Amino acid sequence: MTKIMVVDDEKDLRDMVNLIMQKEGFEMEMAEDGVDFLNKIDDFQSDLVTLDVMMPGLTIKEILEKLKEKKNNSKIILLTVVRFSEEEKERIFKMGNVVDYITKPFELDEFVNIQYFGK
Amino acid sequence: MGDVPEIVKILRDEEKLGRPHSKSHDSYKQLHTLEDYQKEIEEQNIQLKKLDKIKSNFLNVTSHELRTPMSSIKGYIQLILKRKLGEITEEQRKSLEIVLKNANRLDHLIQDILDISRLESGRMKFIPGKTNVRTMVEETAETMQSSADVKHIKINTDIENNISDLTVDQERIEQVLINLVNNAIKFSLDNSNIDIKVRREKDDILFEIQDFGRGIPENKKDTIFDAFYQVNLGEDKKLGGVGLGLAISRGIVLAHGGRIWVESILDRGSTFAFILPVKPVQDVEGRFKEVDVFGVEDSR
Repeated sequence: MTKIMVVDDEKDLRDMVNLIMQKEGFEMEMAEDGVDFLNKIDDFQSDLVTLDVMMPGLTIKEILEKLKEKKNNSKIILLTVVRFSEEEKERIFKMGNVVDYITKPFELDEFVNIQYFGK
Repeated sequence: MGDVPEIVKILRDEEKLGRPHSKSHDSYKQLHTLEDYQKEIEEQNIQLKKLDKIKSNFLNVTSHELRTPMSSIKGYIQLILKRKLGEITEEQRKSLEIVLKNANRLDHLIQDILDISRLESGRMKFIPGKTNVRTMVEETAETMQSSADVKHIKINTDIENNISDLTVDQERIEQVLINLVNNAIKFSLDNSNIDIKVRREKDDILFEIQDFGRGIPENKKDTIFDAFYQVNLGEDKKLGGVGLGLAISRGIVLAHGGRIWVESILDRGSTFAFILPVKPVQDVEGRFKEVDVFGVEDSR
């Protein structure tokens, strides 16, 4: 079963994604910020992580760097309210194992149908 | 939202810096040496840069804070409507569809207000790329047809063969097309047509969206592109929208080095047209800073 970790400081959104994906048959774990995520990732060993780009505490760059240090290979999908240019995408995708990004607010179908959620 | 107290602090600092100007020009001149002026300008520059950064952060934070809750609101409603949380009655379904419709309306409004703020401050982000005009127009028409179906309106497209590709921010140009077609649907009569025509005009591509609706009075043709402007306040409000779509569209088109205008005959219909240069504009974001969305320059 695919394991997904949802990292978002917005509890309601975190709970919602958790609920949707549980209904879709995924094994879920949640984290409220970068530090919480890095503490949980070793035990949970997720296949995929949805990571909000605007959280208090660690920046995305810092989180991705620390993930690299841990030699963790989870695929990362960023959640953002802004669109990325091609250069930004290239820069961000180079920073770690980022495979895609979703802009908020997203439609339910758009979220569930992300190709990386292959069960 | 932690930047708000800083905004107040800086605005107060600005007030302090501005205070000497209230004195008479002569006494002010006597009190200040050239070095003082220079120091004051440097300080003001620092403050302006701070203000600029705060404005930018404010937009980012506002954007995030306003849009994030919409994901939860819409997501939970869709979950219930899709019966993922159990069966619902017909009455509950209808009620939730109204909630979802209004959540979408609010979401669009938030997006428009953020866009107009970005426009006004020259901070709209453009991501230009090679764009197939035919595909873009046909897909937009297809998407909008479901909204037009409600009034039994047919959207037709007439795109010149071998039309050139454009280097534009496709999502933003689609936004212009959607705004114009949406307006055309709003102001069209039931069982009518909307015609989208696209053709090459010298160095530009010309897009025309024609409706056969109520038309626009001659004296209002220039002002309809201003933010928050509505031709007929009561009636337009009933049809939805707050008068931001055309202002945003104008900003996007101007930023791409184009031009937008309307031709209209009262009670016969309107044709909204815009041109975009085939040769891509180099500094799209820079041009955008020149856009006067609120029509302030015109009204001076």
